[in-house]
Amino acid sequence: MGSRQIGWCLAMVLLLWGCGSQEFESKAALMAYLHDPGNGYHLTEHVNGVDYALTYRPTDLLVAQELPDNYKKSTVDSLRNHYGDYLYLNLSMSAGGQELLSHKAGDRAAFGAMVNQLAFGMGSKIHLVNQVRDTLPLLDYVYPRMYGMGHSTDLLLVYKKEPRLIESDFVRLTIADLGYGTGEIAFKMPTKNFIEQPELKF
Amino acid sequence: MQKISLPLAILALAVGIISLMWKGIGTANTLVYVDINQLVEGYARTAVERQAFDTKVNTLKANVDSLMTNWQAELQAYEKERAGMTAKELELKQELLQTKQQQLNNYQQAIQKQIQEEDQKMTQTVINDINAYVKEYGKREGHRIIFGARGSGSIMYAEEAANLTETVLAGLNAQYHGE
Repeated sequence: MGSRQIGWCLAMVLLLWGCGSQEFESKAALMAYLHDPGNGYHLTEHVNGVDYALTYRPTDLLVAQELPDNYKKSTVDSLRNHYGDYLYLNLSMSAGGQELLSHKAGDRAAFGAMVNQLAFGMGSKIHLVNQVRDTLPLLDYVYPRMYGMGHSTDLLLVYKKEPRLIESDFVRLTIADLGYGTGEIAFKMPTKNFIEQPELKF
Repeated sequence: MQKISLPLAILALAVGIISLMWKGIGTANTLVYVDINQLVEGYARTAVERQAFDTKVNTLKANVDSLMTNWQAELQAYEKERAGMTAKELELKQELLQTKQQQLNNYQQAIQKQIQEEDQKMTQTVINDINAYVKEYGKREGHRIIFGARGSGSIMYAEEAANLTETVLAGLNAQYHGE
């Protein structure tokens, strides 16, 4: 094999290695990678004293969460298939380093309305929109109440990985003003991040 | 022939890399700006949001107006009928009208506050979109800094070539229209 052929092979290997998904030994390493803003999985905004952070939750984090102590390779594959069809996003919102609800504590009616909004009405406030402005429905979301013990209001959002989501170059997640004078907040995420998502070594 | 092709390929690659780096350095060192007022006014979403806001405001104001008309009609009726009323009836009617006026004032203030909040929401939404797009554009094009001029003297002089407003506005509107 000549030097040119070796060069070509090396280039192809490098290209394939560059295109493949990143693999991590531990959950901590994967989390650190996800939270590095340079990698595009953790987006932040700060408007009028309210901090927003959107973090992608890759399939393998959900798989790891559900795996028993003694698991088989087939269990991993089955869980990856199960969770792989959905897109999971963590949305964190805080005002002055506190939960959003903490800022309504002085007004009973506003507090009650906000609790209701967070528990049942976020589907009408959060929208995932693809490149051609087609809105993808929010399948479900989880809002764990922290009763003032947390530093932020966190939501786990779940969307179906539909073709119109995957085929789009990017998607925008918009959050309507929740009564804090922030206006609509939008996060733009390239869809290749979901397709070539980082993985865990099981 | 083969002996020449390899050095030529290396040379072409080197020229390519240098030209890319040169372009990057050139872009990064250029001082550029955008006119924020022009961006806000020219952004397609501004008109859409403003129209929605106007509709909302008109509805809210119409509610206040109809309540005010009712109250005024009631006041006029009282003025007409007061001559035939007893002292007790007069006292009760005056108290009722005063309470209604107070409620109307409170309602008017609440509506005014709501209008202000809606206005802030609308403006902030448009500003958020512009900020996010300028940030994305700057990163993509390799600019180290993009100044924001407000058209009131914050940038006294700049070459026309340094004005990115039209380019940014075109990209912003294209993104809004899903192009």
